[in-house]
Amino acid sequence: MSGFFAVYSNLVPITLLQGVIYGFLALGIMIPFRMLSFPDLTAEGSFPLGGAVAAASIAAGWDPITATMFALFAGCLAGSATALIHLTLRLNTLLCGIIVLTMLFSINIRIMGKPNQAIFAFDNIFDVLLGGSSRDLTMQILLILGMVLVAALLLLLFLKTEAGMAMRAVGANQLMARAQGISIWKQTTLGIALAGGLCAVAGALMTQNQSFADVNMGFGVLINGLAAVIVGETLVGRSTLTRQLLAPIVGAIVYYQAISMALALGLNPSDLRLMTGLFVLAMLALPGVTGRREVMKIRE
Amino acid sequence: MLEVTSIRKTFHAGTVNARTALDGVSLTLDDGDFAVVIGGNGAGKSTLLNAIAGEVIADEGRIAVAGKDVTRLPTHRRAHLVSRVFQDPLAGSAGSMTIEENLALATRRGQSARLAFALTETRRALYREMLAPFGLGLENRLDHKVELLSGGQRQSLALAMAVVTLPRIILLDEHTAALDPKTAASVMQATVRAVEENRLTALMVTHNMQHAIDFGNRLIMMTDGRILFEARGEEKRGLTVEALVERFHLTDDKMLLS
Repeated sequence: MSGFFAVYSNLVPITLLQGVIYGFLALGIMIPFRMLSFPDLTAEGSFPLGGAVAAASIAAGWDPITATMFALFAGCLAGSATALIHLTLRLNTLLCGIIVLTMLFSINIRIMGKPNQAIFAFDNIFDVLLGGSSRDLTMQILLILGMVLVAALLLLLFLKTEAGMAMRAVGANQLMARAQGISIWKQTTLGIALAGGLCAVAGALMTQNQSFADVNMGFGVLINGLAAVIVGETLVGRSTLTRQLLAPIVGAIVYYQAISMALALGLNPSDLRLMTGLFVLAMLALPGVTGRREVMKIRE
Repeated sequence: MLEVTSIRKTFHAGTVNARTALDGVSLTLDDGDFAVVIGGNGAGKSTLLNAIAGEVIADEGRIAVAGKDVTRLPTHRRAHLVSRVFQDPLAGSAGSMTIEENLALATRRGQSARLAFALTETRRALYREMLAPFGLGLENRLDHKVELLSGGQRQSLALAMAVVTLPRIILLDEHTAALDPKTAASVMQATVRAVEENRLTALMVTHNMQHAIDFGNRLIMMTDGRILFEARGEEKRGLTVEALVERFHLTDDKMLLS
């Protein structure tokens, strides 16, 4: 048991950092599912897209902040692609996401010119923003935590504006939204683009944290992010907008600590996906436990 | 105010399932008209409402509201002219949003959404004033989610939302059919009050013969995608349920089943 504590406590700082970075991802996964009733898998492609764009830009000499902005923009494009495919062809949203994330695999390799890109030799966002203490994990965690909380706060303010309310109305009741003069196209595209951007920022930050982008870095992030959202909603609830926006961040932090504990206890890392999948299934199957009924509202 | 000219709509055109829902319907409503549409299942009442609302685009013909041709406009682009209360109490409002948020959407209907906070104390005061006449206490529950409301409360809210921007025409789509008789009567009463106070032009579909007799200044009977019979003014006031049923029995057996 003392072995477990030694292993786990060693992992805490690094998994905390990963947890807050995945906070962006969980936010980007929550928005389509909860705000727009648009179950979306694009995260699996927009996350590595963000990584690829950031790594390629940094390697090309751009400063890390601009590179992260490029990633944000690219993620927005990926999200809009999924939304527009759904709106134009009336395909199931999940299928649209799968098509886009599959195409993004090739695009990500094109962006980097190869399947992966190391950026050890370049300054990253931590070097730029933290200066001398850029190797201090605590400072890194606080920086990213601050960034993700600011992102959530901006989202909260946006969702309380007339424009944000129009977007929420589309997720809540499309027939009613149309009747109130709200364009389903505009709001869906905007919302899914925003979500894609957040997922790509997570990818860009993860890449800079690891000084490495790999075309396969997105594999499994969707289900991890979804698990994080569910954990967060169980802990924080979703009765108010503030809670709904805090849940993914809290969930991502707690979820990656739980993973770290499981690994420290000797769980085989290759069994992790099975465990995560079973966990998500269990949470979806037990509405009584989580107090939610409409876990997955799916568009026609 | 509303000019519908020879509109036709065929669903699944060109297939074995082709069904003509509207077969040349023309209808003109003047300012302040309250027209009640009756007819059996499949008579085309709902398609007519959907065509005016924009949910269905007519194959032929023309629809103009307040002089503006809206025939091919999607729903959201004519929402500033046309509002609607649906049969399903869940359809007219967003359940996961609060009463005040729903009203905020409705008060901005058809205008572009701005990046300004949707709720202010001034607006809340206005919403309380809007909801008080319904006598349901909704004015004290502005921050409650709409999914917590009963069917009647929700339909009253939908009605308040539909009239707040003074649309050029309000469509009432069997909006009391899903309610118990007592609630239906009070929602109907609120409807008449709202339409009269605001001098709105209304088109109401109903299956309730008594409502068709009691309300409105015009009565329109549809069958097989056409307008079969129309009464207005004196003639409408002279109608009775028995006379209507008799009339339907002669022309459309389906009506009696519904």
